[in-house]
Amino acid sequence: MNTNTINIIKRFFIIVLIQVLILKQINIGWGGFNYIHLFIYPLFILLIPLKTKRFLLILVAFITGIIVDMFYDTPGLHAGSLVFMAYMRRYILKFLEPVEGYNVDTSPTIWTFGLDWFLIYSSVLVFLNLLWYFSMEAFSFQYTSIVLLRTIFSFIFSEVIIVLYVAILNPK
Amino acid sequence: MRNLLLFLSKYNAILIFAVLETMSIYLIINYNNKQNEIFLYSSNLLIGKINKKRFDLENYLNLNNKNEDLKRDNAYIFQKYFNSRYFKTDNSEINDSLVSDYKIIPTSICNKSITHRNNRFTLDKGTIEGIDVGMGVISSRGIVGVVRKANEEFASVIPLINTISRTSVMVKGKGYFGILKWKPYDYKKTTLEEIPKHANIITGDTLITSGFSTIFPKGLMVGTITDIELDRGSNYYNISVSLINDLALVQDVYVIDYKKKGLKLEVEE
Repeated sequence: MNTNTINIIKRFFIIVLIQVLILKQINIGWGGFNYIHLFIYPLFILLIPLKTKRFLLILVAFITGIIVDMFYDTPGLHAGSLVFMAYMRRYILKFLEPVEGYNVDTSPTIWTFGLDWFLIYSSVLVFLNLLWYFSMEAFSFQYTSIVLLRTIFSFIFSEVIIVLYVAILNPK
Repeated sequence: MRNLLLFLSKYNAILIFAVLETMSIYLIINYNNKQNEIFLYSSNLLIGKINKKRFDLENYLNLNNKNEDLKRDNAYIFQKYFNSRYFKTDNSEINDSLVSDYKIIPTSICNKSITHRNNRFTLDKGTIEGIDVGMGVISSRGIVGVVRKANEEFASVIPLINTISRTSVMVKGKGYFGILKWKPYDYKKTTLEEIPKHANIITGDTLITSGFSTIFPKGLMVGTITDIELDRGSNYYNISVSLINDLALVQDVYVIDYKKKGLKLEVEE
């Protein structure tokens, strides 16, 4: 157990606790519909170091999702969307790779790759995660417009929270 | 064998992705008809304890509002009690049996979801306090749902805003009976089915529980009719109902234990 691993485990507890104890209680909407759900836990998967083996990343995503699911009473829903996001991470990283390549030991944050890079990286993955989440939640094409509205509104607010978390707490 | 190992090492990511994704979808699909998913429930002890701690803190910070609510509830109940015809009767025998037919257990909701297709509420009391499967849950404003699972310390409730919820209701003063079903995602509205097209109903009519089932007594408030439609060729109205209870806010609830449930079910068998 080196300090890096311990830091990751600490971050896991902080992020999951913020999600299930604070953000879960906040539901914003109008006219009986709740469009805005605040998600911070995808950040944990976003910040896993780049050198991590891919199957390990997906496994960690599944476990994180199941733990969040237990608090939300929605078995499989968060787990499924987080596994999907973890699977897609490799492709997004490849697409955004800088000319000189990645320094494989680092976590991808604002401080290592810059704000612009992190904004694109996190928004693409968080959007995919939310789209998958709300589609699976509806599980039918009947609610397409509601799914899209929920995805877009939740995405904007979740992204703000994720960037704020990274900017303020500065995870290394 | 060597080829198999090579294959596995090359495609491990997509394999584990497929396996875990299938597992997630399996869990989502089976959530509604599975009986052994106990460890995933928030009535599960550890998660339940954590939720309860958070709920206790939130409760403490809300004491002022809660006092107001409780005062209002008490006033409402007193008013009902003093106005009821049973209170004025001198025949103590009738009075007793009417009072003891229903036992009311006060409790609180300590965890809830209102934004999903299959919403659930968790009560912070369980079988120790007498709560059991199949009992109705009401608040001072109207009905909330039905207990679906209970262990020693917690109970899980299917609220009106769950796609599998079915409640028998009647139109107050007109006597037509229908069934309340919920369609996602609006938690302030629900729909009423099986009202025949000759029925003389208008928007603004009040719905109350029918008392047919053993879950709720007759005459509890449910909602008001906001919209009536008649599909061409159909014999039944499509009716939208706005719920009187704001299920997003409801917190203090009462569980109804109907003592004659067993006897009623016995003759209906």
